[in-house]
Amino acid sequence: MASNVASELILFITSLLVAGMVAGGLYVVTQDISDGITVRGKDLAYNLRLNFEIINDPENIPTDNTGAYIFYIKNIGKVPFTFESNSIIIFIDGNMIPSSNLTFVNLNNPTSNQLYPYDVGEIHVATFLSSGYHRIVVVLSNGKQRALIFRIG
Amino acid sequence: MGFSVSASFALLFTVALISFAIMYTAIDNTYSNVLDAIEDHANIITITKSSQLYVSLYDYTTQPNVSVYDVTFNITNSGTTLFPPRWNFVYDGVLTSSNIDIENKQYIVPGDSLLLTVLNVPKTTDVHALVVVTETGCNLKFKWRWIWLNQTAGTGTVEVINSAWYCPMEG
Repeated sequence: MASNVASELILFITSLLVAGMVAGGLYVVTQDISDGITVRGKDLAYNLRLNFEIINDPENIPTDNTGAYIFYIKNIGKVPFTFESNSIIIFIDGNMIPSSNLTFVNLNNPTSNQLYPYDVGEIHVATFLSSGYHRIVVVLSNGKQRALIFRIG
Repeated sequence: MGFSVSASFALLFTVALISFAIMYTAIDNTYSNVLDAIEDHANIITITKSSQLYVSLYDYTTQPNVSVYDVTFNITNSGTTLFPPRWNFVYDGVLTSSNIDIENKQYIVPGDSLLLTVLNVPKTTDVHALVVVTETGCNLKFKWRWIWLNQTAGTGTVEVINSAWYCPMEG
């Protein structure tokens, strides 16, 4: 009689342990998938709301007092983006400009590294450009890019 | 034995329900979030595609004995409603607002016009250019120059050389 109770108890505990492990696994996997869906959805929504434009006059690119060319970036999206050399890559005529040759100036919030919607920032590019037409490509950290063909001289 | 199966099933069923609730909430929130973003994106594209500005008239003011003039452009909206407080101005290549005086309007509806004056332009024959950048990134660019009628008397006139409207492309 006592052995029957003990075996029933062992069976009960074992079955609960097995069911608990299965349930725990199911919960963890579900949580992981739902987190992934949420993160992926946020990324997608952010990328859709992110937009910017190079607003220079392509026939007249200004320079600063060091001779670096100034390009104006306007946030025309609905979300801010990081505006600093660590997160933005510049190509001119296919050549990547080293981040040490770039200076970022946030005109609307000088102390912030975020360019908010409708704000404008300057990218000072210290490089030599010959007279004629060139192409600049600005690439954000999420891969969104804009290009401008401009003339020097 | 029977109680063990029932208890295990109850545990699994409860966790399955909780998992379904978690998954449903995540999918529903993500769907709403992405749908809102798609609408925002579509709105921007629609405004970009349907907006257009052009210079309908222009005039200038000056005095014979001064070396500068003010030129006023009448900018007409032939597209969708735009929001001038979010515009930027690139005058002779430089982003500025100091030499630009724009009529104070919160919105410029289709068919409406606003006056934009470029102040203190030197009376030289150099070609000047102004790019009006709207909130969608579309640009109205126009060029003008001063033409001397009588340089000794300091009189002349302003001639708009050309104007263009262009918008950014995706990608």
